[in-house]
Amino acid sequence: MDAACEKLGRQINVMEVCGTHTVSIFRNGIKTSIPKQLNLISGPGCPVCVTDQSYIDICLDLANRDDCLIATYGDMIRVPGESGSLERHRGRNVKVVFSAEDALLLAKEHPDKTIILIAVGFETTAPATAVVVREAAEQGIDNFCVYSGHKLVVPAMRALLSEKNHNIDAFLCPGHVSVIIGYGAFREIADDYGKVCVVAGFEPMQIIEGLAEICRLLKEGKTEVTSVYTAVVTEKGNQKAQALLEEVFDESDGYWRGLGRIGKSTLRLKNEYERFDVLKRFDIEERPHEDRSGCRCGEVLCGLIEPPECGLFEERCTPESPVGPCMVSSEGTCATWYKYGQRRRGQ
Amino acid sequence: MCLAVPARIVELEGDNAIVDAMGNRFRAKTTLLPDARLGSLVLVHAGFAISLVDEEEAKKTWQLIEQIDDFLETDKRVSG
Repeated sequence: MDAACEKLGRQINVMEVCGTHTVSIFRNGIKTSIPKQLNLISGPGCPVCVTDQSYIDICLDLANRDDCLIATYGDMIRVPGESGSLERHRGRNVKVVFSAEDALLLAKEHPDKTIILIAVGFETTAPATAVVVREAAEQGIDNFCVYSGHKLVVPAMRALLSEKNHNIDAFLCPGHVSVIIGYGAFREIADDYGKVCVVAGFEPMQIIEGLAEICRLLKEGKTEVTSVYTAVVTEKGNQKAQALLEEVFDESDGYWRGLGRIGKSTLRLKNEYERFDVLKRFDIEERPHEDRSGCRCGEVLCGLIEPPECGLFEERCTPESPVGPCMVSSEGTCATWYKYGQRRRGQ
Repeated sequence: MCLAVPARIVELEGDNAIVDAMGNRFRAKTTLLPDARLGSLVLVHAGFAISLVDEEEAKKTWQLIEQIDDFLETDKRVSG
């Protein structure tokens, strides 16, 4: 890696688009153990963080309805919207689930309520939603619906690369998203933008190996797509999961925090499953709006600034009292920087 | 959030499984992984097995999860 960086003779910017990579990089001190020319940038890899503010506000509105019960993954519970967070409604109209299937079980247990699954997450999480929507249709469970905020990784990478001022040389691609989509899914990034894409696992040696592969490819002037996470990632991914995604969802334009509207980047239920779409069931219109809190999560997510450059970081915004989602989510870039700084100061 | 947890299938009926991850047992579905069998080690995410995984890789990931949980001191992830 050292030799490759030296030969390239310039700064190399590698973006990781996975919250677990971000955490592992900090936890293991990887930034300080790689050549100084290699600059690691955290991108939009945390699904909770990239979820638009308007999505959170709609969830909060739904949590006020006593005829509904919200089923959410724990990651979303503390994300602040305009009127607090889902935490405030926990135990009454909000329940934390660990599995999409649990949301369907809740629907069977509570026939008097409509159960709404708050379905965020990238391609790793979306197939679980697809399965339960299909099960609900097959079993005629009508008091169940989902608010799909599922997002696709590749369109976000394309959006970042379409910005004129981006400085990305290569991507360290997410491990478990790639279990589903396969490393071949990143080929369009290499073909259309000439960027190296390497999939890696999450343990430190995997990340180092992935970075070394990126350096080697850059040095040799090759824009290739590959994976060093051969234990679980194949070129084609989990085709059963992909088929289910295609059966249940359409790719639709969607709003991302920081990145704005991105074409075909969000998964919406197909027309034949629209009775399970919360937006259709309750006739809700999504209206994206600006966050006026002074929070700069959007720029953090695009890799344009590092968390300490935000005026709220460590001052008004801490994991105990977060202003933006990147400080709420355990995998958020701001929360990771905060914890890392805390540890460093404590040593 | 996109971290899947390795777990061993200890009960399996149709596509309904009980899996064991680091001593914790929970329900998981094998709908997305028709190759899963009783005794298989699988990666589980949001209650679904998404891939087979070998023993060595599972151990590495369990170690990583312990480290990360220790680092974050949080229970708020979608791990199973």
